[in-house]
Amino acid sequence: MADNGVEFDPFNPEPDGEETKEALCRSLEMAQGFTLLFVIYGFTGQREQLLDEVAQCVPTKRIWHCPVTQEVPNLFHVFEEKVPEPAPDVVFVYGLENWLSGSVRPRSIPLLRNLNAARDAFPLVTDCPVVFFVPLFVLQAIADAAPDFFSVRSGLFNLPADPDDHRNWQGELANLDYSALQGFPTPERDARIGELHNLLSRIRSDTGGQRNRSDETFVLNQLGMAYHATGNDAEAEQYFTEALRIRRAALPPNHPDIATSLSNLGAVYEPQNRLAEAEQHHNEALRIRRAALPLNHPDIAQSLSNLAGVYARQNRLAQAELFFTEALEILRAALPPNHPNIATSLNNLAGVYVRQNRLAEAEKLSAEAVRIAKESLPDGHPDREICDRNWKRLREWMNAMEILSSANDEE
Amino acid sequence: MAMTESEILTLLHKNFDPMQAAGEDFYVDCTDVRGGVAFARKLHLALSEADEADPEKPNCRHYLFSGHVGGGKSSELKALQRILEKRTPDTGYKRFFPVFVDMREYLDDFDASHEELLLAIVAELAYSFEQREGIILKEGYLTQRVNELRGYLLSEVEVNEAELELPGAKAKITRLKTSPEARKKVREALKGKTSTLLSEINLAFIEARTALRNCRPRQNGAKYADFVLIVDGLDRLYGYGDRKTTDESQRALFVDDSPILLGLKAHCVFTIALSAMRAAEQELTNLYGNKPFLLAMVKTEQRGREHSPYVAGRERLKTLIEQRLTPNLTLEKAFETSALDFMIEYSGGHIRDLLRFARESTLYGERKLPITLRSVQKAVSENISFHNPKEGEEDWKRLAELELSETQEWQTQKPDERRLLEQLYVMEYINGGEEDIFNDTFPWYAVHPIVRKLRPFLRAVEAKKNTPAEN
Repeated sequence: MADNGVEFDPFNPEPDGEETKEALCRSLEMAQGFTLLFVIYGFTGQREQLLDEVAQCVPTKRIWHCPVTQEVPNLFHVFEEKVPEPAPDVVFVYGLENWLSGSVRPRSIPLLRNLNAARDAFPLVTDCPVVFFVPLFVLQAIADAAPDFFSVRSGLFNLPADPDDHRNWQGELANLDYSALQGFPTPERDARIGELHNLLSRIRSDTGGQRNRSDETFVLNQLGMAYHATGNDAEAEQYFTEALRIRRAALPPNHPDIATSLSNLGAVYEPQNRLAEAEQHHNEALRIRRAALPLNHPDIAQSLSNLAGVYARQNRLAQAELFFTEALEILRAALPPNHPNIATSLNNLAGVYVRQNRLAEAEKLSAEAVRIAKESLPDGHPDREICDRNWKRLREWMNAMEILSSANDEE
Repeated sequence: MAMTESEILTLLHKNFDPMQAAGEDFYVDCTDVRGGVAFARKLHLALSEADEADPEKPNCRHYLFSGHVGGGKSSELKALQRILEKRTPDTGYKRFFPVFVDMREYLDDFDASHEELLLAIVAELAYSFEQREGIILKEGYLTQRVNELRGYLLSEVEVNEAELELPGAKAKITRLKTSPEARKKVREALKGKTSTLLSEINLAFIEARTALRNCRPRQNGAKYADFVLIVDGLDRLYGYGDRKTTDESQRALFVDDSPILLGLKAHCVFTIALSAMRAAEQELTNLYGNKPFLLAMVKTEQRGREHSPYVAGRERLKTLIEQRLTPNLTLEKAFETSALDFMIEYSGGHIRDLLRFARESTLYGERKLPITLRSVQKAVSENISFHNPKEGEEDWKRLAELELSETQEWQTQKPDERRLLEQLYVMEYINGGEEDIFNDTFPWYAVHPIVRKLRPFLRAVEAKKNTPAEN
């Protein structure tokens, strides 16, 4: 354990879970009043065992378990409402990784943003240590979205997974970015898809109860996305459908994860020109999101855009306009004014205007899209190039129309 | 009875709490090693020189004060408070009555407006005048105005109580922090009346100033020349007006609403977020008539690519640690020398991080004194895992460029650079003149000493060295 004579490199430490755990326990014993502690672990499957172990090292303390396994806008309100009597000696907060996605911008997540504001309020309702049990990506999201909250922490404890633990698939997944598969050369792409299949079979061979189901759907979705990114939508459909089936069986009917699965499926039907099915799935996703999420949540805008895209393909332009417009309004309310998603949304609506021959309106939106994309995206980013290209085409088209109409006038 | 080493460690653990701003017992003046911005003394001198003949036409100064989160801003403002009200000020300095407005008591960080800000100032002023000198402010118009709002500020039980008086208003006005409905109603009631409200507040300022000059201070000594509003906590606003981000909110408050802040006819110090200050430094200088004060990091290294140690800064941080030791404990008994050096070097002069390392180091090892290098290293190493800048490779490249640059300059106007500064990947230091501490010079920048040891950073530096320079 400690001071065993081996040179210790603090910047590339060999993790020593036992020593760190002991320090955590000491910290819980010594803490007086509100103290913010973070425990970082490798993967969700470790969590239950860890909670038990830490609880055992402070046997005389009253522990309040505060799971946050579904999205809530403000953790402080949960504390205010639910903190038990008599007051606990220690609070365990965990479960954020169950719903917090690593691909969403942390600053757009209300719970994280609200942590910052509540940093002085927590001590008013909990006069004891509060321990957040989180995987690393959640910690990084907190550090990004709630820097002030993070900066008042009193201790950080890394309890990584045993590298040989075969349940540690999430750690491996966290290091891979499947959204970028499109640009990869074929062998590497296939290798990554192979890794996912390997993980899937390992998860399925582990009989550990419900947690594995959420990991299973996670990998199924990753596989779906990987195949979708490579254009193999028939294959993608299979995995998304399976994920949806599992989620429907395990979750309440209006759970946002079900909407995500529906949305994924809609996205693979559309390029296959199965528009009625795409519409139906996007529609249900929209219904769930409207029921489950706050009014101006960007995911609602995403569903609206998806549906509008289907309508546009079906030439139902009035409906497409309506839905793209609402999506744009939501994004403007929910995101900072120069967010690239707003540029994409403007671009979509401009496309509908062009087809309705409302060129002046289209030009206005397209110009704004170009400006935002230029400010928010690097040179050469594909979304920025689309905005630029559409603008150029629109201008050429408008010039051609002008020449044509002036030629007509001369006749 | 003598304490056991284990008990001492527990006490040290408590004393190194990074959450508490240092009070008088723990405060260590780091002015000179932060590089010349002798904030409190400079401000005290400037205020002492301000013309104060006519209480109705004060020569008000408005100052902005900024620095890293956790860099010691609040401790420094508390120190300012103590310096200003010293019973017998040093020659050339006058005695002032500081009114410390901790906006954290009054404002909802995500939904604040100038109405609550002004009411908070009134409430704290009247409260501290009564508490500390027994002066009851009762400016008529303002009292009337506050009573117009009493329906929104009081609970149903309290509505029947007698008229609200200014000194008692604090307890009611702080309720706005937690009640969005009350805030909405108060804002509606005060809509379009900002300049009237300001005039009323300024009348109350004249009343306060006059009363102050006539009063014999309870803590005997020189009479007060004037009062000073020290407004802390504004740097943390994320939602001001209708704005939804720190940068926009800070701009809305300090630039767009500067007529309101400058309309307060009193000496004021406001805290502003570092990134917002950097984004609009020249504009703010023009508006407020003073360059914003910057609380730089304590320098732990000299300017230059060699990062050679700045001994005076490191020694001062040792004093800061020493100040928090238990009685009869010396630094040598508390920490191995190498342990102390390590912790100070890798704090980069950031005081809250230093305290955190010290605190966490009490948790490792054999529960014996002195705390070993190994324990401190363990504490530091637990704190490296979250270093993962948002833009990945791009950010590491930016950091590598700074590391290899001769000038150690950093484009604080650019959003990515500002983000890295805000999240402490990059530290800001000021040299200042060695002889003349009032002589501010331009800041210089260095990659955080911990970040300099991380593999992705070292890789980026190697890659950068191997690429031929552009141009």
